[in-house]
Amino acid sequence: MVAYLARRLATLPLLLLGISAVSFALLNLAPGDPAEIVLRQRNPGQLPNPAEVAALRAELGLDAPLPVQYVRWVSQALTGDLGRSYSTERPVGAQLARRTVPTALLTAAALALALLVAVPMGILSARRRGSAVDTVARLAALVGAAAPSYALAYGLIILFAVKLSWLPALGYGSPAQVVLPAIALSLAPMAQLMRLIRASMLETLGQDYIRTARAKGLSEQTVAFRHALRNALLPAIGATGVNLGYLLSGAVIVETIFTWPGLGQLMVGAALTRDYPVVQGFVTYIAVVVLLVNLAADIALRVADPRLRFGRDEM
Amino acid sequence: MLGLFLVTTLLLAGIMAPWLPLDDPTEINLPDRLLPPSAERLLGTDHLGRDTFSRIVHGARMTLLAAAVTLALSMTIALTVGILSGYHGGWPDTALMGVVDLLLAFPSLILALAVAGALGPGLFNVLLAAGAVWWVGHARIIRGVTLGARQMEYVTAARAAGAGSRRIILRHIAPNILGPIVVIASLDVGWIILGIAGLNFLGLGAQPPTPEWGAMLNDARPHLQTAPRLLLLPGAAIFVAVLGFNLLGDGLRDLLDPRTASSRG
Amino acid sequence: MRKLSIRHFKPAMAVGFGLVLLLVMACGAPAAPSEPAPPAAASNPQPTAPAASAPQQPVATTAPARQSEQSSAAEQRTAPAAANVLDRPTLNAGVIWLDSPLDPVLGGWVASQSGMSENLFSLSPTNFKPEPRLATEATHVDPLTWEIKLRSGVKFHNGAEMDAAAVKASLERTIRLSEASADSLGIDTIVVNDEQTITITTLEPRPTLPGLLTAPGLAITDADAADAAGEGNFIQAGALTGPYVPTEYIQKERLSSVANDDYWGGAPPLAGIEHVAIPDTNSRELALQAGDIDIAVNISPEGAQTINAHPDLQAHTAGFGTAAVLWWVNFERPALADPLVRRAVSLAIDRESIAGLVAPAGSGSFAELLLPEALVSCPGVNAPGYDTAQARDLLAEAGYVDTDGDGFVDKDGQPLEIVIGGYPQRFQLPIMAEAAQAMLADVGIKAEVLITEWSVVKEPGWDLFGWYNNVVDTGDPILNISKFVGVSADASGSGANNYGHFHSAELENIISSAADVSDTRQREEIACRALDIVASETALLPVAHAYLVYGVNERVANFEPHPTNLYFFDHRIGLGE
Repeated sequence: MVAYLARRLATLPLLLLGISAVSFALLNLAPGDPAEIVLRQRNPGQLPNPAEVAALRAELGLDAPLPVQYVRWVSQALTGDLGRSYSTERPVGAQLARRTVPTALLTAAALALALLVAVPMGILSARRRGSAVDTVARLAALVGAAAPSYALAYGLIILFAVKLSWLPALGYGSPAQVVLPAIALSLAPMAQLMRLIRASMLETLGQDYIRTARAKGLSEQTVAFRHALRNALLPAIGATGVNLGYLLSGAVIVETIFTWPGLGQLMVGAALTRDYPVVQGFVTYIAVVVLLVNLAADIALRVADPRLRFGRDEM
Repeated sequence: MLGLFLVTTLLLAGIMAPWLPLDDPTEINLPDRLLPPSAERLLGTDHLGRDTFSRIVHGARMTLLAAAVTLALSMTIALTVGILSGYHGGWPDTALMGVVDLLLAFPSLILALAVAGALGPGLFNVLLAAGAVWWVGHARIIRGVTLGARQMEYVTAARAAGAGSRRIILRHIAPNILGPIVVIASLDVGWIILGIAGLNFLGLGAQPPTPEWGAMLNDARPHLQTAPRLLLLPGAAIFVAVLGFNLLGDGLRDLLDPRTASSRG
Repeated sequence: MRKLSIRHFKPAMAVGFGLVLLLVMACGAPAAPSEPAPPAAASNPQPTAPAASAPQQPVATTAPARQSEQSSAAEQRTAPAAANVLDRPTLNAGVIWLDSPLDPVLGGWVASQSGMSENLFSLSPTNFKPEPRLATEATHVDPLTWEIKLRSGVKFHNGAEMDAAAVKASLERTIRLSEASADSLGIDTIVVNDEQTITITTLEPRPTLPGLLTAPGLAITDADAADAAGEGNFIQAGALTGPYVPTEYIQKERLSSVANDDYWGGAPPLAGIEHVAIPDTNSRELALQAGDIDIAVNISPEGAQTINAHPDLQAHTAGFGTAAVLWWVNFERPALADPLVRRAVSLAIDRESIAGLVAPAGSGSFAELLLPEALVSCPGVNAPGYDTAQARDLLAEAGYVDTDGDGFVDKDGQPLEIVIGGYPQRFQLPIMAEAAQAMLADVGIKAEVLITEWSVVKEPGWDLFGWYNNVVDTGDPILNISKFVGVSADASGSGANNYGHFHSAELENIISSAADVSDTRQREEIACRALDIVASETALLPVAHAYLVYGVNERVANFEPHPTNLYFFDHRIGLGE
């Protein structure tokens, strides 16, 4: 366990370096001179003159060779300085930090909702394989995985906010406002998790030690909960990182529709207006978070799964 | 079975679209705008008087083409990286899998959004962006399968007999990884369709008047309440396409991967 | 059994651990201690722990009691003069952007729209002539001199008196900090005559000075307080004069205000206004229908239809448009450099039908000329109409015929292809581009649509580019013509937005002949001559004058929509039960 942890932690700096290189490349892939874009934003309606552009290029350090710029960018990023937005000229880091809380709340709510529905449904569906419950659950999972969140989000608003007036349509602040976006966001990972749990539950139920347990005369209930459930949940933990990716990707669209002041909304606005420092900062930040969550999930998996902890051979 | 039927229908519609007796999907007819469905116009017309049914059918063509291009691009990269990595092992394996681990940290839609944002809007840019990021997960699976195949006795025997890498990969490894690739590909088309439609919905993809489902959804937003079918129809089309490919993928997996099949019952 | 149950919970604990990690990172990661906080959010320090952060987060609830508490707390900090507002309602407004800083020298639009800032003059809601606001009178003493009398009894939000010295300081601060404003005014000296009068002398004649002073960037500001507060603390300075006092501003998200009970025009009946930025038009309309907001600024024609069908809601508009929806014509592209082709293009596009599409009755009107009738009426001046036969003839005359039978004309083996650009944030532009594409195809011109970001207009890759712009700035028709098609980037702002690179010596002569003309009628005649050239040369292609349409809940009282997007809310607007 310690050796594993050490190995994982040792590769972390390398991966972080890689992430920074990808993000840096992304900005430099973009056409257009950043100095010119900044000047245009400062004085809309006026074409920047070359002297001003040159001066700003020097000020922003854009006249240095790319490797120098990269080293400078990384060392600044390490102190949390991700540059300034072209459009607001405010620090990107501070914007990301402030918008992280709403996104974290929304994704956490959606993930909780997904787990809350997917875990019992997945188990029930596996235990009553072939029953009506199973059929409905599997159908629901298929539908959930295929429904486009952007069409769904508007449907939810019209039904629950406009027609029934049960919930606010959008906005951010009160607990009621999180319900609709969380539902819209949770469907895809919910479906995914339900399928995953059902499949692994079935697999576990079919394994030797479960058969042994049954043979020993333990009740179905005990078998299911003592032995199968624990193992069946492991893949769900393993998939936390992947699901976080889905959730954050989904948040980009859901936040735009629900006017949720999170990272996704910031990202879409920045991508549409070519506010590269924001795009770059956002991508870097998300990658680091996903990387760390993946690592945490892997470690959690090792802790929770004795087979992995001691090596499969001892099983 | 339902999956196969849906996918076949979509493919047929997509391929045949230009030869079907449909109105021109891009022809604007202002006096006929926002017509409700009728016998003549099965699904009515959109905000510019274009035939919605025709646009949906042609949309299948655009969507499937876009998904196919993305899939081809990402599969090419995934196969190259996966086989190279799995077959040769050693430092190329370590390096390539390092890159894969690294890229796995970037959620694909977000990276695609960033790339599309950097390159500017356009369907081609979106496809390039999607293809460039979608291969990562697959490369890992293909590597695993290659690794498994390489250790099989007959491959070891062939190597011992002095067969070239190229020959071994083509004759012995390729047949083994074909099954998993088909399964991943069909399961993936659904995600790709959703992702591309999402980028188009955000306005980063297909330029008007291209009939593309995500872009149609985006165009229809102002008519959300006055003509909701303009949103529901492309939404339903996306849904059916994704559902079809997911079902097909599940079916293929049961067929080609007996281990999961047995546990799925 | 016990042992098993502990094990059983481990996976759940692990998931929880992941979530906690996410939240921890949420709050810590990129916030470097060395960074200055964003200016607008300076009063809202970065949270350090998730638990503590929740109550400090932006609140956009509709609960009036809670908001009033917040507002009054904030009010004590920034506006000690305001009275208890607990029993008055708060208006919730949904707007598109909320993007400009509150300090007028940094833009000033949001402050003006939200009723926080005021200028010496404001634009009349009927004919866009400058009307006295913080001033009471302006006298044109001689071509270079204006004497301006000021309203008495006006106080800044911080309680300081707005007297002549304060106005002088405000204008001087703006000139110091904003090059554009300095150029536009061309002020030589400002002299304080007495408590309520100043005399402004300009370097060149400025016959339209009161109009120029309506620009939101020239709102009267307590210069000393604003400078003393420093960058990022503008709200704390209490440096504006309007009926609403800003209390908290998070750019692109939300803006809160409380009533200024010391307002010279009388205390507003509201406790304050909560603005929320809702960039998506659909979402803004839905929020109004769901009751999240009481008023939605800028709704679509389709939204207006739905809202008018709703029992509690209604669409309001001033009934005429002050924003032109138009196409730039790129004079630097070979395709449209030929006047025959340009004319053919303008004849082939049925602009009136397109106007009916993007600005139907109640949402706008067809724009034959660039400027709306309410600003300047030019009876004899007409633009070429829709005539496909003539368009084909002109193309043939220019040497373009369909030689290869593909349905599109060509010349010397080269097809005639044009690119129609536009940006998506104004819903009219993509629709216009698609409609024009189809109409051009009818006469054999192949067009490609390019929906992209607006700044692409400054790049060379387009022939027509859709645009949405206010055309009643300062209330002077000539300024609004020269801004778009003038060439000299002189103090008047001429040519500042000439994205089509139109050059016409004749037009320049006409425009410069107005430099020292102060008679309104005479200026209108000159404007009409200029518009005639713009129309006949196809310098640009106007399509529609779009109205500013508000979706309003019937509880909102005394709301009078102003046709421009300068003033959304005044001190009279109220909210019933």
